[in-house]
Amino acid sequence: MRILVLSLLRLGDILLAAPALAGLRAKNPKAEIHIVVNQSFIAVASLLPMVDKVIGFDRELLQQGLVEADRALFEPFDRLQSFVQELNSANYDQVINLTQNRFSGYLSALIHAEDKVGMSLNNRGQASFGSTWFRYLNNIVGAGARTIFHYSDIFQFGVGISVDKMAVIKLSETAAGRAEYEAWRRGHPYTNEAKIVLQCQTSDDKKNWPIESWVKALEVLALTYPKAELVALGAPFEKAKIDKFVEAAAAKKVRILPAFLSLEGALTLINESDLLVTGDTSIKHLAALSSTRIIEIALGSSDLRKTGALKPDSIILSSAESCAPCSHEAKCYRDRHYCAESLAPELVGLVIGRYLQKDWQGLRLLADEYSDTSRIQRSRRMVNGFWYAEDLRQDQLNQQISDNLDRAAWKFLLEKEHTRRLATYGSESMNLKNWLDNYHLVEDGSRHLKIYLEQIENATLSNEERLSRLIDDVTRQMRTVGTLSELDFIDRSMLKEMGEIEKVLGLGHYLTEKTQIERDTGLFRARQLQTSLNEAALHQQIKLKLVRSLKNMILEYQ
Amino acid sequence: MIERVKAKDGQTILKLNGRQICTSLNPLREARDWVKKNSRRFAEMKTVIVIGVGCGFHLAEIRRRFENTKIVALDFNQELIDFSAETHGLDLVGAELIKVGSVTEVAKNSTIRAAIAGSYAVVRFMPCTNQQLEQYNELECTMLGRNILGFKMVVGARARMGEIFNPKVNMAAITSNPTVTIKSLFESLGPNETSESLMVRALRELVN
Repeated sequence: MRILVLSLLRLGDILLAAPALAGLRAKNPKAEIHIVVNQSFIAVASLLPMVDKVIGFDRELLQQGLVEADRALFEPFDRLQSFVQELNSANYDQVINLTQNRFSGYLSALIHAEDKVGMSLNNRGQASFGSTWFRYLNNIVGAGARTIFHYSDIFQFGVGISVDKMAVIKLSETAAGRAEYEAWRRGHPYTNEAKIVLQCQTSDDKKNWPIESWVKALEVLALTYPKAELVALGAPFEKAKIDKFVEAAAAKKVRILPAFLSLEGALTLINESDLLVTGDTSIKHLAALSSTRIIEIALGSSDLRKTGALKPDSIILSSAESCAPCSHEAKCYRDRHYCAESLAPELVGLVIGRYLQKDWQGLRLLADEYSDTSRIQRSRRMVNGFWYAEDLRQDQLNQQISDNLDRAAWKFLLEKEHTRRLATYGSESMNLKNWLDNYHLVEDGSRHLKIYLEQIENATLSNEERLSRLIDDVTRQMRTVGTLSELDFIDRSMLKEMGEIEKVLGLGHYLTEKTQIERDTGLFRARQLQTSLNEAALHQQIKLKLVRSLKNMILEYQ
Repeated sequence: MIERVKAKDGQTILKLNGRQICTSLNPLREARDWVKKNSRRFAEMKTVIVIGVGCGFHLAEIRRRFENTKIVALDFNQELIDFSAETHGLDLVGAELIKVGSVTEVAKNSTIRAAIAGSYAVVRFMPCTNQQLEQYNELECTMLGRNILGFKMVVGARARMGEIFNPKVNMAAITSNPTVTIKSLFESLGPNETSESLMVRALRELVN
């Protein structure tokens, strides 16, 4: 069997897909697995032993051909055709598109393979996904839903990796990486003090925390860890910025060692360290596949729900500003970079110290103390397989129970578990109960928990009823208004109700966007809307069963 | 008027109407640098169409560096073609040096039609095309397929392209733009399910 994976975004996205690739390898031990990545990231090949071949795609050359008028009009066409022909000559059985953009959708369609997973677009621009998970990524995550799955989980579930096959993978260092690290280490004698790697630069200014804040945070850290070895990691092209960071720190008597290493060298350095403190970078995703611990500073467009530090028990620091996370494409519209400013340097310094000491209680206290401006979250993985970020503020447990019930219900729906005759609502609820055991709520017979589960049950029941009414209304309207016309079949009161319920359910624009599809007839819009309403209602029905099962289980234990 | 002169490195070069059409210092080095600069564009292309034959050093250098790539060199001046053929002889074996009478007649040339039917890059050797600038510009634009004449010529030379860009139906988007681009190609796509059409759609996604 031959499998082709498309991962045509940035380096971090390729590394984020590593667990899915490892799962794919475990599931298909004899398959030949190839991956297409952008040519500029071809060096990642040495870090992906689960893949047989890494194929570079020269997107830059194609784009030059498209925008420069002195290039033959059909030159990029010919190059793409030649690239596709080469891929097709390998006779792939399956194409897995882990890139959620339209270019990759067309590329997937161009490759001859019996089985396509992930977005594939036809000549009318219509998408097929070959997997409920990738459809979810497009329809629910794309609509801006609040409670979603981490991209890495979507990839893993999407390629058919079951929870019991989801493994925590660790990348092996390479000989070249070790040699590069050793060469760097020769100039910086080894000590037994805590080793902290800092990556202060990201690829996007919006995600950067100011150098002055980094330095202040390190001054605070120096009060508890005066001898810690601090290493500023950067790629060679980042030298000027890193040097500026090192100089600014030196002016405050904080010693930082610069390290300009390749990806392989960086992996060894990270493995040899106790902690990485980083923005939303590819190094963060690399560290998630290493043995070191991670503190992530998620600012600007960094969306920790989608790409937060994957490794369990990492810390993610973010701003409490309402505009965060912002859009990747748009510039910051505010007069100041508030999300970066609101993250206090002393908080970051204290968090690093507490985290090195594994003082979770101390971190919870900090989360409450700084809750006006900042958030401290801990990455966790549920028994039922999905990643989530636990808000360490004390009053957040209720919200997390609801969110995890939401996720569990989506997982149930996307895995089509509810269609089985003996659907495992009990097992899923047991997973949730086991998770709650961590908070000592079940054994303590917390009345509060029981009351809260009843509240969730009532709310879910009410939401499910509202959705059912909407489905009836849409169906009736389709019959009466006539489905053949271009006339709008949704009246204002229905639209208002739809907007309200999608807000309550945190579904982004999942329902209302269906009424705004421009290029098709009223009938098409109505069908799309019906499908979405049915799915949202089904999700609530599953959630209701899960919460009832969980409630009964907890009552039994009391 | 053409005259032969010696470059500083001893190579014989030409002057056209009293002006040099390649460097008088080291034409071989100039050719090497030019090919090096453009080599990424030649990679994986079946044919390189060179606008401007000049003294031929740049053509010989392409032949030397890209043995398997077909070379088609176009010029308006037969004397330049004769000089290059005579000077570089064996170094230009397999290269087609074509005298162009007028831009409109290139579409009728079978060698050119064969070249543009497959993958090709167009490069221009500026030092020898600075005189008759407008004519060379038009020739380049046509060979690039960036004007109406060139677009029709390329589509006409490629069998399957005719299916997706039906000139009778879809030329509005092309003719409304002075320069044909991927955007105008995309807008001129007809309703069809070919892989070529998918490829144009894919490429359209790579530009804003």
